[in-house]
Amino acid sequence: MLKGHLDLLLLGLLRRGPQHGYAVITGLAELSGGHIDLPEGTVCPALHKLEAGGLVASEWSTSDGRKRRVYALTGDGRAALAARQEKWSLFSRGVEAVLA
Amino acid sequence: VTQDDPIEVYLDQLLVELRGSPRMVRRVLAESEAHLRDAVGDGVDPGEAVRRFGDARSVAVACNRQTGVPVSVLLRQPLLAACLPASVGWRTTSGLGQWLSAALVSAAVGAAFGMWLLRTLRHPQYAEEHAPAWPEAAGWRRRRPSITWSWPS
Repeated sequence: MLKGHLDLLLLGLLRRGPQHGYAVITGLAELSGGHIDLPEGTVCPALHKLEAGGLVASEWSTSDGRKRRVYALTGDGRAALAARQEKWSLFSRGVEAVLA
Repeated sequence: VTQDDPIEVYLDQLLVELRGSPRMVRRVLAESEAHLRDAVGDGVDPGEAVRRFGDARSVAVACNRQTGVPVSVLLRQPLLAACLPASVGWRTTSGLGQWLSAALVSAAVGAAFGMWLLRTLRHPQYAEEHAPAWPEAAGWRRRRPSITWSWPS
């Protein structure tokens, strides 16, 4: 189930500002209260896919003497996030209504 | 960094499994190492950081799926695998087999290359009348002039 929504989660996380891969993973775990616990290596290819689609952009950055690839949302990424968020809201409201 | 460092071992495994372009392979390795070192910097045990990152093969498969694999990389392995049986076959087939192989190569990449291949690689068909020339070719006559050779009957 998470697999189909990983892109949405990553875009949502990057809306908070540019982040590198490790920060993305820890952010997912923290913000979800530990409910989202993926193999950390799956995030890197997911970010690459978003970048290939023009939804995020990345560049190398050095801080504390460490080189990291930092990802940021693009304009297309913001538009895609808004559209997917709307779809998710409709979907989750539908599920809630059925389960109520 | 030691040879037993789990992160180094993991990156070696990942390198073996990755199939993308050299630039993409370097990027995935660099990002993976940065991620693992960040985790260790956060106090995670290196072995645990590697475990949480996921099996190297699974990660590589996911990366390969995203980036695509260049045709040259896809073809390299089967071509190399085919080289040994092809070379053995070339050496063992008859003259007719070699002509047929050359014809196939000619059809595939051009007649000039096929003929060149045949002239270059075809081994001579030795016969009895060639035997007296072998010692001379090997330099034996110069060193042992008293020895003469003949084909055994």
